[in-house]
Amino acid sequence: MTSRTSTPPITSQATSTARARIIANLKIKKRAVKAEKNTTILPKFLKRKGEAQEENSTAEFISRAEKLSCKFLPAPKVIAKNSLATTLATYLKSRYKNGTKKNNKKISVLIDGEQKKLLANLNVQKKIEPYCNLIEVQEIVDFATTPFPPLSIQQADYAIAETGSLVFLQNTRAQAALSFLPTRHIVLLDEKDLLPSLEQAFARSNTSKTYWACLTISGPSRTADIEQELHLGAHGPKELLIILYR
Amino acid sequence: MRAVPSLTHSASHSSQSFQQKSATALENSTLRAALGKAGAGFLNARKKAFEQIENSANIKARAQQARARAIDNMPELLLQFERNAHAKGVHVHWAETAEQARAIIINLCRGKKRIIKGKSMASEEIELNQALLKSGAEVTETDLGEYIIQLANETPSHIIAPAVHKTRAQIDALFRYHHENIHEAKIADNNPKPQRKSSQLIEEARQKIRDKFLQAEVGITGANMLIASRGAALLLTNEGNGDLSAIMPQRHIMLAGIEKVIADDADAVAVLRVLGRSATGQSLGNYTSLYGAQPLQADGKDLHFVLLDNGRSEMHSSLWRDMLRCIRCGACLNHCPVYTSVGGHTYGWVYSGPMGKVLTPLLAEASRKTSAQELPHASSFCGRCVEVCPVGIPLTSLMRRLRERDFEKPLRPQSLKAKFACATMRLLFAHPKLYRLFLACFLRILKLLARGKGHISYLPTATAWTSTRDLPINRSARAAISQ
Ligand code: SF4
Repeated sequence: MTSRTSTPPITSQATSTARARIIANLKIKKRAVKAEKNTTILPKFLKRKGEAQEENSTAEFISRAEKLSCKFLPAPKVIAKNSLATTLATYLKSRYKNGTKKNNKKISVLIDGEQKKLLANLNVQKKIEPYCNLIEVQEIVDFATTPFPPLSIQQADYAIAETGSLVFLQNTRAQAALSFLPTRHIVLLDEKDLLPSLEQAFARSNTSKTYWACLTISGPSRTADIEQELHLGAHGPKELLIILYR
Repeated sequence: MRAVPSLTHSASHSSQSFQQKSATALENSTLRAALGKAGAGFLNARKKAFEQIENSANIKARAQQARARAIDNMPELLLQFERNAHAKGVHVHWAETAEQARAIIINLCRGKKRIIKGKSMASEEIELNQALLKSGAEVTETDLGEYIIQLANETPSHIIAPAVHKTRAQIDALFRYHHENIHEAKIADNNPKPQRKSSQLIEEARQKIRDKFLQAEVGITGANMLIASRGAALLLTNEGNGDLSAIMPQRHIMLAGIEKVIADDADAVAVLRVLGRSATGQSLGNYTSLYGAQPLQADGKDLHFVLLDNGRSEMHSSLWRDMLRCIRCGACLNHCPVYTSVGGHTYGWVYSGPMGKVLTPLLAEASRKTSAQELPHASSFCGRCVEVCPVGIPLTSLMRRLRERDFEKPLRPQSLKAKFACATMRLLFAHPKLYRLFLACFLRILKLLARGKGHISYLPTATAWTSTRDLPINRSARAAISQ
């Protein structure tokens, strides 16, 4: 985009005429409308019946996410930050063995440049590199011609316990593609980034971080468009793996 | 897109009446099988989702309040939305009619050939695909259901599950034809292949559509909510196709009806809490994304909102304003005994079921067709739609008002029988003595016809009813008869 001013870059006569007419039409109040009073006040948490209310966000998040067919690595629990590297390495090793050993190639893993630095700081990069080629998504110039890695690793900006969702604030097309194009999506989530409710998640998106899309992802992509049978892996990832650490 | 005549279901957009089309649909056993499979799944999922939460009545009330607030303050909120979007360099276009909306979008796609689309009912409403194809562009629907009906050259039969009327066998044949160029007849004769599993079909579509995503120049999606306080829009999908359509191409166009506006985050959350639950039983759609949240700066992306009126501002000051609250969850369709028997195409336009019966006669383009005016009459008023609507739209009352309008200003000829019945009623209601006399006689006749049973199997003036079922006599009528 060239202009970044507050005036609309495309203003045709037609659209302003249409605007004026629509608004004028809406302002006609032929029928008196009673304003509804703000009476219902909702509790912070969505209470669920029949199950003990999860005492904390972490347990709530894990149980919600598992219901959405997310998998946790290595198990549905919080791991220590310093075992992040081992967990990832173990997983990649298992994939490397089953998947690509025949042609003796390492599995390609897509990652965001900034997050690669983060992994390097946590000593993760060194540990996992024997099993995979880390490809920075920013290096991909043309998505149409680059064969896409089957796996991506991405840090979630925050997560929502109420719905078991992960939130990514994306700044570039490449970053956003990271969550959608690979078959398997590994998400790292810091326990302190867990928020209890949707309201808090929306509030959190008003941060200083610059981003262009706020993606709230609840489980692997799915469709029920053929005979209403649920299948995982429509256009996005078929598997969503979460590593929850503190 | 090539159309395969042998596979198309031609009921949509034909000039037949609702009654004729439903008769055809009821005899179509494939359609009935497909609808039967879908029905129970939707109902159970929704029921479970609301049963699991403790304060579901409150949650629905809150959603209704959020939508009512949006509709009451629509002009202010829409202008606020535009201001906030402009401040971030996002373009906003206004379209009063379907034609204007098409022109705006075609203009935005000028010089670009490859276009991908996420599911958008508004785009179906303005028949965007046909217009884009005519302008020389290549359009691919990316929602699996929409993709299927695009291959079949049909319109959606459900607002949430567009291809709900198709069986796996039909989809298999469609894919064979379009992906491998094998015609249906040939499959049966020379080249018998086993019918593929759903997962195989999904994988095949995924590969085909993936290429389109990667090469697309423009992505067109709908929007579920336009958040006025942010000047940004929420887009919900399960497959991830909406986001890929939004992310991959350089230009992203979001088309939405003006009623999609919502005041702020808190109201948006209130609606989100009921939308997924009512539609598919999910606590939140798989992908809930906010576009235009911050100033655009990356990658030379640009974002355009196209706000469509097409009869909505007219509804705003009419007796049918409540309909603007609709969040297109589809619950009323899934619970409608008429919809689940005849399917969406019988309604003759893109919106079907109870919400379609109210919207179709009111929205500009379709309302000119006389067949649209008969829709509100095709209801037994059982009221299940009103019970399940998460934003409390009194669908049956709205249909009744449409019937009244239709009677006062008939767009279609009144039958002699109807005229006679109304004249009689008017006479009776104006003269209490006559009314009482009539009632006494009528009850006596009913008593004779019931012959001591609790129901009537033959009623001379209502044979359309009694030829297929008995007319039950309720308790008060029974008491009156026995007096
Ligand atoms: S009318 Fe109510 S139930 Fe029907 S689609 Fe709209 S919001 Fe859903």
